[in-house]
Amino acid sequence: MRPSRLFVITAYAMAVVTLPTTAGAQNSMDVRGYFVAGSTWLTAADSFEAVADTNRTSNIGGGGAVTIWKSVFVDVAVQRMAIEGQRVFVDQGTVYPLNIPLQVTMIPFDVAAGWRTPGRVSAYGAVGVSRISYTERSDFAADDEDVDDSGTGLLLLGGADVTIWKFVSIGGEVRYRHVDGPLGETGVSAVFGERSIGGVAASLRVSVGF
Amino acid sequence: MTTPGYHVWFRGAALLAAVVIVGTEKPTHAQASTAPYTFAMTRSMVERVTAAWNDELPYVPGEVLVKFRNGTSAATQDRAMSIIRGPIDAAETKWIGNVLLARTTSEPDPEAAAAALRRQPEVEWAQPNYVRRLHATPNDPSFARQWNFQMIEMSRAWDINPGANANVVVAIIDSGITTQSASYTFPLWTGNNFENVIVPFGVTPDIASSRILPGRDFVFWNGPVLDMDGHGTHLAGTVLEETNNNLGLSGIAYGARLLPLKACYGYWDLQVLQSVFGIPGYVNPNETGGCPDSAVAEAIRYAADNGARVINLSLGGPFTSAITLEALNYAVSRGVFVAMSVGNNYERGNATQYPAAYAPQINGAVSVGAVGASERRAYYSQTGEHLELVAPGGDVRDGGFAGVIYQVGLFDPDFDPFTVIRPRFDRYYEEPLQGTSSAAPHVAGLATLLYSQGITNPAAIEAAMKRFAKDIGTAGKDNEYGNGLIDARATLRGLGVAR
Repeated sequence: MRPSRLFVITAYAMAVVTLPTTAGAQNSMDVRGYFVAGSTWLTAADSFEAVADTNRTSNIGGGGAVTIWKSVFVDVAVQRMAIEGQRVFVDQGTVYPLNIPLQVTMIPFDVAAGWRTPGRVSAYGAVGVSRISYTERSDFAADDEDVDDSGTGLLLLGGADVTIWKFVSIGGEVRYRHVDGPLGETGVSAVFGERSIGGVAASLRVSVGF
Repeated sequence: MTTPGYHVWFRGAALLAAVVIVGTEKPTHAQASTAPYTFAMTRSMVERVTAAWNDELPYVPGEVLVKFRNGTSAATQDRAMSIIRGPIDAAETKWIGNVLLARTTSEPDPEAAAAALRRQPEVEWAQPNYVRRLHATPNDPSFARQWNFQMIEMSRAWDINPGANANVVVAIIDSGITTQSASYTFPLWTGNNFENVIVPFGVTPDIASSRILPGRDFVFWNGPVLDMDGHGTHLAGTVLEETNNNLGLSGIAYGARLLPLKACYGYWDLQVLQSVFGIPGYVNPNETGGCPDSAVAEAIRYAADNGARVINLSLGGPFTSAITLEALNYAVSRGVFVAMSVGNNYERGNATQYPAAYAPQINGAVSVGAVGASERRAYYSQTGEHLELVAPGGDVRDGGFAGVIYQVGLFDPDFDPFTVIRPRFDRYYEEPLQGTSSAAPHVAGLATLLYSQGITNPAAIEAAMKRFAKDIGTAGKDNEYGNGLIDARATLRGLGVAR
């Protein structure tokens, strides 16, 4: 998806989240903001395991959702993931760490639309797009050697929550992002033939809504 | 950023005189003594070696290397050896690993002897004891400049890895690097008679003695390693010369340790040996260092068995060498990376040279060609499918005297065989050299840094160098530049996730 189209969608989503609505009378919360924290398992597992000994990282973020018609809602979210490791060389499947610190930061910006079941205990699912900003920094890099790039791809999300007190609900959700972008051209991701900067994020979600 | 403090002392003086003795500390010389050591050759061996030297033979006359098939009994070995005309000199026979070095005065043609032995069913292979030549072409300086290190991005590479560490040992198998400052009394032919001459030796002032291991001499004697040629010292400088010490020039892996292994003799080695055995006259002053396969193979194995992680071989010849190939495989199997110069005979027929031509079949050994200051193939640098990498080797036709490789080396006017009859080897200066000999140590130096950085497998070191080499010449691997020009900084930096 081209960035300009993404902006249009994003602006629309933001508008519906922030503007008052009369739709969605079936739910106790028509507009909600939420905070998430959890873990992400990155799809480029071999690449991240090579540099960081793991493909798992923590994620933290938040977002908002608004019910726009009956049980249909639009969701906008931003998360942040960071992983630290070191630069390596890979030969014949053997990884040689080079003791050069490396930091990867990924910031997914998600826009999705989906459907939510009514009631105090509610399940939901949605499909949308995720644009992931990807930065990679390492020691001894020249200006043009660090990576600042992004990619856009598919987002699937699902979860369930329960209203625990008036406007507050708690639950869990899973987001799957398939985003081809900066990976796969050079670097260890090319060695392992991995292109996606996406992954599966499982998070605890706390929502406040009206 | 680590900026080497080289040239500070040297440059100005070099411009004035082009001849400078490097060294802030005066070497402490042991008292002159007649050598208490045993020479590595007998009189008959010296006669054969000098015959090969003077007549430019590619082998040592009367010497063959034989490997018997597994399970061959001693009696059967004797039967196989009986095919050689005349007796084998048992006193001069020795085993190098599982290879027999046999010497006979009755069969001076080792090609014929080896061919006869190869026909015996008990023999796996047999070859003459070929003599490899050092791959150098010396030049005179006008001024010095280490453009070569800039070409391979050493300044920024040292930011990542400042010169390796003392845990990594580099073996230079060559004409030796002097390991002790001392004077020895040798008999020398001075034109009309023999004279006992006090010959002073000094350790290079730009490699800390603490980083120089005792090493071993395979061709001259069982005493301290002495360089009477200068070739080995120059190459050692490229790999190991002190950096940031306000003295002389710099070296790539200036924190590593040096294992000097003398497997090549030069003019003065032979001149001394000849005189020791009372053989009058001078050996051919036009010849360059000779390296018998037996000594080279023994040195390779010695390096592998004594902690070396990197070997530099700046020598070669046009004949195959089974004993050297087996030694190389042995070394690499023990985790040793080997850099080998591809040869300087491009304009003299470009015949493939060994052992460099074995490199493609050994993961962990690399053949190295040379480029000049403009990143073009040096005029002498040999080509072929077996060429794997290139590195700066200098090219006087590409930038004049500024375009060759300078390292602190022995002051060669002190032992110029055309003008000197009483040599000395205790003075050093900024020595110019060009050749694939000079290119290979750049690769050996980089391998040393990579080992220190964490790539400890020789095959992976080779793969890394090829992966990050700068592709010059025809796109992709080609016969002039192989996989390209080594890039120290890119190789040391390795890979991130995306880039």
